[in-house]
Amino acid sequence: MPTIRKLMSNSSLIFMNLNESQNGNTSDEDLHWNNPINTFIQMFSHRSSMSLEQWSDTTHVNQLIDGAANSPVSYEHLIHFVQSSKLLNNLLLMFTEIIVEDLTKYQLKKNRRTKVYDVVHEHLYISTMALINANLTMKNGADDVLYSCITAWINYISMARNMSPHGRMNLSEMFGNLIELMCESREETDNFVSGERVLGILANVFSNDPTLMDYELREKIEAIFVGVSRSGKADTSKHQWMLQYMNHLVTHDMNDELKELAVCMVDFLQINTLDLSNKLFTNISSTEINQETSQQYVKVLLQMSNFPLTPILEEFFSARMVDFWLDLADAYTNLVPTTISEQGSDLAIGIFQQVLGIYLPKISLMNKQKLMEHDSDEAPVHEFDDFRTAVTDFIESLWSILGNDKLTNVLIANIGSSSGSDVDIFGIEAMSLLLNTLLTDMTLSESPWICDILESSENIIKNIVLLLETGYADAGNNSVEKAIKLDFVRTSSSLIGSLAGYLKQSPARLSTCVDVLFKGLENCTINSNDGNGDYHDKLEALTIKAISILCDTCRSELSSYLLQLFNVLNTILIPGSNVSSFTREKLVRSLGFLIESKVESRPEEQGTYVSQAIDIFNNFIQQVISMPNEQTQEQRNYIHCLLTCISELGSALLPSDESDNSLVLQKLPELRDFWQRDPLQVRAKILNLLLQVLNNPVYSRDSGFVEVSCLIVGKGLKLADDEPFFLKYSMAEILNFVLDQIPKADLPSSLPFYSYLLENLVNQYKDRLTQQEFDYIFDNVFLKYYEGVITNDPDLQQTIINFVNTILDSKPSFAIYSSYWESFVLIEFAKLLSTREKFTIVAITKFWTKVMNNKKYTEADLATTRHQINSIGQQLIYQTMFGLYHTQRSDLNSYTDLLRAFVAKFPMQTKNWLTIVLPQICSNNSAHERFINKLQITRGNRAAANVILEWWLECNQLPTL
Amino acid sequence: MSSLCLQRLQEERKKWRKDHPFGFFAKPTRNADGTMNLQKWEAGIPGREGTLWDHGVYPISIEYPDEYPSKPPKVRFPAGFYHPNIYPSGTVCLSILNEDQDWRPAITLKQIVIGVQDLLDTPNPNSPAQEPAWKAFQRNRVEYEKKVAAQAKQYTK
Repeated sequence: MPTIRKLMSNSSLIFMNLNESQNGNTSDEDLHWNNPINTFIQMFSHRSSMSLEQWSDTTHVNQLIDGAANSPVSYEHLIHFVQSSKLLNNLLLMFTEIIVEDLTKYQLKKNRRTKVYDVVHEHLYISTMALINANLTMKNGADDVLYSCITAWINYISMARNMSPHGRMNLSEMFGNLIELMCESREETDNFVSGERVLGILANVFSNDPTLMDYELREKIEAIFVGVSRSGKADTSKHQWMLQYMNHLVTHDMNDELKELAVCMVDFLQINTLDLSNKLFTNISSTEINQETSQQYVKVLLQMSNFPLTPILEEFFSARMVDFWLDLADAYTNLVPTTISEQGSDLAIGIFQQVLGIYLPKISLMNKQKLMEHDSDEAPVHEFDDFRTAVTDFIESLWSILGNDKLTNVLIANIGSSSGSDVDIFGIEAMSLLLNTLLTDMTLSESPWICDILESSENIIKNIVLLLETGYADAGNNSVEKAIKLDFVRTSSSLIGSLAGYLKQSPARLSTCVDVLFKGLENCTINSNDGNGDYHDKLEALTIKAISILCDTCRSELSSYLLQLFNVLNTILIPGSNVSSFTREKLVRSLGFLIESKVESRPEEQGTYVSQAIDIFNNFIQQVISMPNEQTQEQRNYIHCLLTCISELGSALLPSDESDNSLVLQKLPELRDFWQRDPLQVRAKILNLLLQVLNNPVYSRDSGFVEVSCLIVGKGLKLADDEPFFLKYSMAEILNFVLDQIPKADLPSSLPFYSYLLENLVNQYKDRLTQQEFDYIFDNVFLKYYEGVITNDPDLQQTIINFVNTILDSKPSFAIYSSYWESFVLIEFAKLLSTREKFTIVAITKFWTKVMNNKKYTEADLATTRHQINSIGQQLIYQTMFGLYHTQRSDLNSYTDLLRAFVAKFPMQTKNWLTIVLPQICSNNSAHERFINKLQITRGNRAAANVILEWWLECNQLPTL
Repeated sequence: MSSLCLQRLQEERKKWRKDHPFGFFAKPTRNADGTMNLQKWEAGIPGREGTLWDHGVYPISIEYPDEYPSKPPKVRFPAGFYHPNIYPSGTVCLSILNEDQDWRPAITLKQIVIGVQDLLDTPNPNSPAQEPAWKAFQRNRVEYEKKVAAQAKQYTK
């Protein structure tokens, strides 16, 4: 068989090539081949009249082929031929399938075939349809080869009708026969095999190109699938077949087939969504379809979504139908309001309320529980989670139709409608999931109506909290229960976070939530050694996220929790407690939010709390670093976490630009004065602590510790002078810190952090810093280590360049009048132009661009730098072009701005410099000449980049654009 | 938006709803009036199981230009996302999202999100987009892994 297939495929290639000359016309009239099927029939019709010797005689066979090539075959002849032998029939089907498969395949590669569509339409299509339809109506059991052939033709026509007017070929008769064949399929006759195969073909059509099937046929399908004919013309009695087929699938637990059927039916239904929306909800008149029938139709669809079975486990219709309802909801939302009929809006609301009623129990975690208990396979569970996500997407669309009034408020009311033993915890979870989706995009603090509804619901918070508590309850070692409880916590904690804007206005309810969240956090801490690490980690992360949101949103409302938070902090910061660094750091940030709100009374109060927090960190750190043995990795991580906590506290207390609290604004001068004086010596305590930790070489050489220390010391560097903040170190304090630490540090890993701190320092204190001080910093932080360390490391080279770049951005005079500018910077940085490392290239080209083109320059600065560039220009151009020539293609763009700056600021000189240096880099004078000429006249970054790329390609002997 | 762009985005939405990898989500954003903005999507990329990125679902935004599908969409993580191939702005540096590299109009949303998921655990050191993560990945793997793990916690699903 493979040989026959190959021969057929060769013939199909000949057929294609003969029918597709370059100009659409064959030059030789004799060389044409219209219909390989007819040729096949003609030749095999002679099979019995020729001897074996004659078949082996090439001349004889050639004569036969010549005679058969374009000889017509009547319909009767074709039918007689296929009925004469099942094998010949199947070979014929296979041949036509191979031809159209090849045509489809080669079309994808070569988008210029046109004539062949005409030939196929005029000849092959007609023979094949006769062949297929004969096979479909012969009632002698269809073979796989027939279905494969049909599928290939559908795929071909689906492609061809977009390519050529001749590609449009009608398949109605074939589809009609397929539908008949499907409805004749029975359990007793063929065990629904042909029904299933036809449905597979139809599914392919509905999914990929539904309009291949005409309206009348689709009506027929509609009557079979749904049992309703909206026009009243189709035979609905055939719906019985569908019911029998579904019954067969359900009875025999044929889940995969049921799923395929659901996909097929919903794909089909989605073809008509817009039409259905128009018929149901608008005034657009229709003589054929009345609204009552459409409503009847919708009823059936509602039933289809509502099989009383477990979704995914026992039925797939509800999961697939979400897509249909989503489409219908979108179609309704997109209607032009003036076209909506008088009752259209009420009808839509009625339908979608019913849909909501159907899906709420469907997405219940009880169904997930059943799924998990039924099968250990994870795929159906994922599928169920996806189904829940799809319903949450749908609910967002529903909001546009039902509004808060009929959706958000209803969910709120229903969540809060039960109490005590009546509470259906799974129902609460499902509604909470959907409510959370709606509230995520709302700003509750600006939605008083929703807040009123929430406030008037007596049990809503109680029930959400009950859901949270149920989630926290011990799940033992039962993995199903654990997964469900984790979902409970996920939904409820997330909803509590979304409700933060409302809870801010309802202190008692806020307290209820916070109490349970803290209790949950405590539970995670206590139980995290029971072998369920991952589970507790997730619970902990979900809980701390909700706490953090509440503390951020309800800062002053939760200020009474400060003491409790300190207690929790004391517990979770204990070295042996099983709490992740993430949770510790988040909790400290939350504590910071509450402390930040403590400015309304006296600044001392805020100061006391900050000091108290620092004391806690200090005490724990002292406990660990005072241990006589060498520090373990765990201890290092612990100390690092505590230092990060200080940084987090600082971040939480950073003054916000958006603060509109008038009381806070009034207190600002007092607070500023307080933190400037810092009577509790908070800054000194922190700095001493850092110095103490970094005194240990293990920490001072650890870049993680250097990073967090620099973060703490520099936390206040971006604030304006008059902003009150507890972590505002003076210029001298920071400078001393850096200069003290640098000699102890592992420079390759730590210099970037110190350098970044200094960049911020110079930015902040540029008006107070003197030239001598700047030179002292540059000398002691960079120059001292240049030869030994920095010059060998591209990262450090980049660090020093970035530092100078920041100075050129902030106060260029520091750099250009530095005693190291001409003696060191210009000389060394010119060499760095030929560097190979991406980030260094970016930094160094930026540096030289800034030296030439800097808006911060004074007249004097400009004159100085112009003079300097003029004198070293040729060397700079050489280094630039040398670096560019040797760089990789992806880094070429880094040089564009620099070369443009050269041309813009030194046009004549640059031309001369280029003319001199380019031949020294590579010998391709014509490319150099083109490059120089084009560069001079090119405007715009992209065009310049292209000129550079062309030169680079040519000189590197790569194919040009 | 051109009709080609609109048609293709509708098709992408349909395809995605019908078939998408487990654990991922993607949907068009909504305008204030509840209507859909097909040119801007929000999506979630789950970290691949058994990797440092596991347990997190990382949010991305996908913005389709008017010229889509001739031009690729712009995919962004939140600004400051820690990964060697994510720019400080959050923009993803991936060849299939680059018009001048491997973008083809036939690339689907599913291929894009799977490509981004792959990128999370297999960064391309030859195409650095941000310094901190790239340098840590190259020179200090312990620090890199620590930060990735902390980020995974932040985006716990």
